[in-house]
Amino acid sequence: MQHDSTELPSHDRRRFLMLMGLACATTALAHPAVGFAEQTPAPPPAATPATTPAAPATTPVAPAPPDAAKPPSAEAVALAQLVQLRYPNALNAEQLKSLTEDLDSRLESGRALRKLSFANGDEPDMTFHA
Amino acid sequence: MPEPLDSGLLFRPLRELALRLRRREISPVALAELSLHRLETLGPQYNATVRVLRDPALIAAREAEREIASGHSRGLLHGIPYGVKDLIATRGIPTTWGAAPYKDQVFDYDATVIQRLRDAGAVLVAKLSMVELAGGMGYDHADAAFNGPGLTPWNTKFWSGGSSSGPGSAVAAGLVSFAIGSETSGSILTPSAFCGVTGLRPTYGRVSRHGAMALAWTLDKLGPMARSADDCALVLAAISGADPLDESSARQRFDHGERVASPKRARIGVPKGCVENVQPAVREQFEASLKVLAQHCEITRDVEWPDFPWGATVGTIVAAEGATAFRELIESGRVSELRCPADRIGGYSRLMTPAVDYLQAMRVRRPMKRAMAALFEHFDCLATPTRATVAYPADQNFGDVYPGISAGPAVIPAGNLCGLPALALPNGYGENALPTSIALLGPAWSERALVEIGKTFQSATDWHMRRPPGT
Repeated sequence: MQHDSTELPSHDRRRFLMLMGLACATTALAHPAVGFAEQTPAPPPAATPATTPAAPATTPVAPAPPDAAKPPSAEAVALAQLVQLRYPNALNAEQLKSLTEDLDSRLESGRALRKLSFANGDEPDMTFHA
Repeated sequence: MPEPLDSGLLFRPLRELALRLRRREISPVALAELSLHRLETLGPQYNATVRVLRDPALIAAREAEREIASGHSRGLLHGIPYGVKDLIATRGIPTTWGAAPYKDQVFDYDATVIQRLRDAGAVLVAKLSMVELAGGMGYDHADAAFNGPGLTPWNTKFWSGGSSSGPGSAVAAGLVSFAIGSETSGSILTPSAFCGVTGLRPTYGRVSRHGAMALAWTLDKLGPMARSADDCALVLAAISGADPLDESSARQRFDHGERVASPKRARIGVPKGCVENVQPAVREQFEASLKVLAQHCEITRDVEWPDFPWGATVGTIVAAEGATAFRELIESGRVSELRCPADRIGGYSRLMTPAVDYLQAMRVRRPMKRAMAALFEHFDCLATPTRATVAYPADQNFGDVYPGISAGPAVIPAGNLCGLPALALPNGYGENALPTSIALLGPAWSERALVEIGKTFQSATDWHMRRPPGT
């Protein structure tokens, strides 16, 4: 199922965005660099969302769900394109839209984690044994 | 034809059942028959079971009966019927992980917990329902298992919680005497709260994970769900200890022997903000519980909660480890066979988790553990409401219910990220007559202290002994 190419042709990109019903994002993403430059970074997530029920059970406490009125970030759209490139028949248009929202949440988590500063020698909490 | 046993027996404490079995006032076979009958008749009302193990259970019960009659006692669990969440491998019996793509999966070995409970003479009567893949793909609705949503026996319009939904409802409805659940981040505590039972999440490494479905290797834990703290401790004593088949298992064995009188009152901290935005009844029951505990413990309010991105950290770790554990399922496209629409999508976004984010999350666990250890220099445990709300309606998306409610400090993610034990105790009822619950979070390896505080609370209350309507 995987493609070797990492380049998504521009017509495919347009088709992808149309599939997702993201016409408003098309212009911004006509050139990826422009899209990223224009994207306002999403605010960092609160450790626990103030206005949503705590996440269900096993489900780890996820970052706050993205604002439905807010368009997806360019990063999330780009990652969704990558998913579609790798798994071309896996998701329909509606699912791609949900995926993009989910990716936005994950990107927010990543931003929260990257705000933390560590010393060079601070190792992850796992130990490799020979 | 012997007289049928009183259905209330499966609500009685394990010690009482053990005594009556040893005295041969009741027989293991009759007790297993009672449990099987209730699983077959009441279980479907709650979607509690994946599979009732009638024949193997009766074989095991007859063996227990023979052994007890000959004077060979295997301990307090000998002849006691129990169920396991269906992510625990049982040789020759399907283990579905709650998910359609695995509904015919059969292992040729038993999980270590199954073997240990067999050695203790307990009688396995059912594989119990669960959220598909233990919720690792991001479900957002109760209807997220191949056999439908788990329902709480207190009100079947509401969810039993996840991902150990069947263990919660089966214990609450007295279908089994105890059950084994699992927790990655909340999966023992939440169904315990939503079903009004007692749940003990052990310290990471206390119980072997061998033979249990892996969702997140550095977070997964198996633990007991039962009527009371004492019952949970008895089960934990049987299943804990080192296992060469699980590298993460620790040598510390949990010993639940004679109570040792503590010379000092336990110190309980209450994190700041833990009741600010919870449902009113949850807050009232929590405050009432603190009053009960204050008769035996020192309570300190408004304890500062360590400031870390708890939710982002646990979410990133579960995403990366879960996507790795289920990579083949996702990449093959078979993830589309999952029940919950969100689960069919979530795997793809999780595959996109950068390694750097994962390692950054693993890095922050060390300062997180140090911060929690510093808190526990002043307290024996922390107390919070287990959940901010009662059970969610079974027919709505989680995000659409109980607006404006939040739990405050991220106690469940913190406890799981730091591998700490926690005990959920039923403490009353809230909206729609659904159970509420208080949770005690302790330092690593402090299960015994938590259980003693739990026993103290439950000796002064009877919430844990109440039966849902119609059971």
